[in-house]
Amino acid sequence: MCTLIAVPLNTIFGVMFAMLVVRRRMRGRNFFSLFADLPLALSPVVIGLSLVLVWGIHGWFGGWFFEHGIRIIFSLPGMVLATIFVSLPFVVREVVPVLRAVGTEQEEAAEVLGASPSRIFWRITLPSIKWGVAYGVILTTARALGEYGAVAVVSGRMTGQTETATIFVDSQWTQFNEEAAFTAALVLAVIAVIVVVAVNLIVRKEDIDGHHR
Amino acid sequence: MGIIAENITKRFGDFTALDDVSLEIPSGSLTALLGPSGSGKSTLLRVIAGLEVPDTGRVVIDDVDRTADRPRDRGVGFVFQHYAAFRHMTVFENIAFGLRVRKTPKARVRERVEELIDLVQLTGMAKRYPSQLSGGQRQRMALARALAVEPRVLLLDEPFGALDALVRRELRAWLRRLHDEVHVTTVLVTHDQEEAMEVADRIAVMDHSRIEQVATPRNLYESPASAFVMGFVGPLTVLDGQQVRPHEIALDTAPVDGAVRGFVTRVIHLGFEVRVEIAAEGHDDLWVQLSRHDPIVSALGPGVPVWARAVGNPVPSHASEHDDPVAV
Ligand SMILES: Nc1ncnc2c1ncn2[C@@H]1O[C@H](COP(=O)(O)OP(=O)(O)OP(=O)(O)O)[C@@H](O)[C@H]1O
Ligand SMILES: [Mg+2]
Repeated sequence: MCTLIAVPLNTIFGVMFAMLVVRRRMRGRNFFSLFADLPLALSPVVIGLSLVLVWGIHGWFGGWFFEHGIRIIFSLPGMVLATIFVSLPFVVREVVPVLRAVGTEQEEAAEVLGASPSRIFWRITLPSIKWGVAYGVILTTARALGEYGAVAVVSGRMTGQTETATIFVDSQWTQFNEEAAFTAALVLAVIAVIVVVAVNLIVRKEDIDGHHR
Repeated sequence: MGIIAENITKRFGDFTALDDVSLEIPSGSLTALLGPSGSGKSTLLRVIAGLEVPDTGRVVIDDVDRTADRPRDRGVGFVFQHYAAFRHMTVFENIAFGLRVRKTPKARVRERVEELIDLVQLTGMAKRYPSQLSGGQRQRMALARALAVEPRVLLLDEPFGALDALVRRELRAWLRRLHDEVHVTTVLVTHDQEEAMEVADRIAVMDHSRIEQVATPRNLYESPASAFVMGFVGPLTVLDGQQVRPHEIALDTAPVDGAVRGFVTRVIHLGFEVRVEIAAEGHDDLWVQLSRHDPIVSALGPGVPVWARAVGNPVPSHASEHDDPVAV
């Protein structure tokens, strides 16, 4: 569930972020690209805690939302947020080098031919980075499914309500409910294998297409 | 007037890529921008296209001031050194791109694209992807794509730079014929003087972010405005402290008044041309260009004493104020 919401959002954010970092000549873009890598360096539990700090009832923004009847921490929005945060770097990291490698010539050619910025993005930029995006999306999916630390902290781990698959595995296991734990773990493992196979297929397709280098 | 670039200055950080450059390009002409690497040719072309915004100056195309216009509103066609082919589109889609952007009716697009495919001699290749074309074919596709929208001016940035010598030669001749057919005002960037001389009506020589001289190929060769231009449009050697063309030196095997005495070190036969390298006191790069029919050739060999004197015009005197005397 979390994954379903987080992955598309992350794809959009990730591509926007990468475009910003690579294509805009703006000040502080190095700082921005560091920011995208932050979640990779931080422990997920720390991320979870900082989200609670910011979005919790007594947090910077959380209080306002709570007054308006929206609960973020210990409910779905918080979990989605945590998942987004943790898996954001994957799309960015895949797309940035591809954008750099493709260069700006095709976009400039389209511009001179009269294409509007949005047309250039949809018809030229996106098609040429699509494999980078796909690769990033798959990694994001894998990470989002497997995420435990950050989500565990913000979810409050309410069984049957704010539980993700990994949290489910862990809690069943600690309750000596081995059968359920193994079943869920198996499902996750199968998904992981599918993801890895998909990644390999994409990499091979890339080679055939010669889309990169 | 086709294109007027007036007092263009463009800086990248501390570096001045264009230093108060002015250039006029008559409508319907094919003008070459010739200069060594880093002299600012591409930057000037990109300023004309609107892909770079100059710090000062104006760009006028067909009597309309385009300085503030975006590239897509300028009515220019641009061909990049590395083709910039849309790799995920077929030849047909590539060429049709500009027409589709302009919402041209489908039937008209098909008609126009097919016409262009024939014009650039890619008949039967409409459904191929750029990766399935040779370098020369890709470049012709890029030209067709730029021509499709009937641009007011055609800007070519070293269009043949990435191709081998034979294909270059072919495409040059082809480009010249194409220009004679369509007559669109064209600017061709190149660092190859032979290419510029062969294709262009007029040549603008650039060096160090400035334009050194604008002239017809013939005038450029016969009366170069500076030592730099002279060195760039043909070979040079130094005789008696003067820069001269190596074919404008007479050789004798007997003493001649006022000639420089030396010894032949090497005779190189290059087909029609025979190159004679000479060691003489105070000269470290003296060589002479003869034709193979010159009667003196048979008398020359390593160690033979010779007398050399200039018979052509030396570099014009006003050229000496320029800094970079020798060809790149
Ligand atoms: N975007 C840029 N940022 C910084 N410097 C640049 C940029 N574009 C060009 N330059 C500098 O401006 C100078 C002129 O570049 P330009 O590309 O116009 O040269 P050129 O004459 O086309 O050379 P070449 O024959 O190698 O293509 C070079 O020294 C280059 O390093
Ligand atoms: Mg260049």
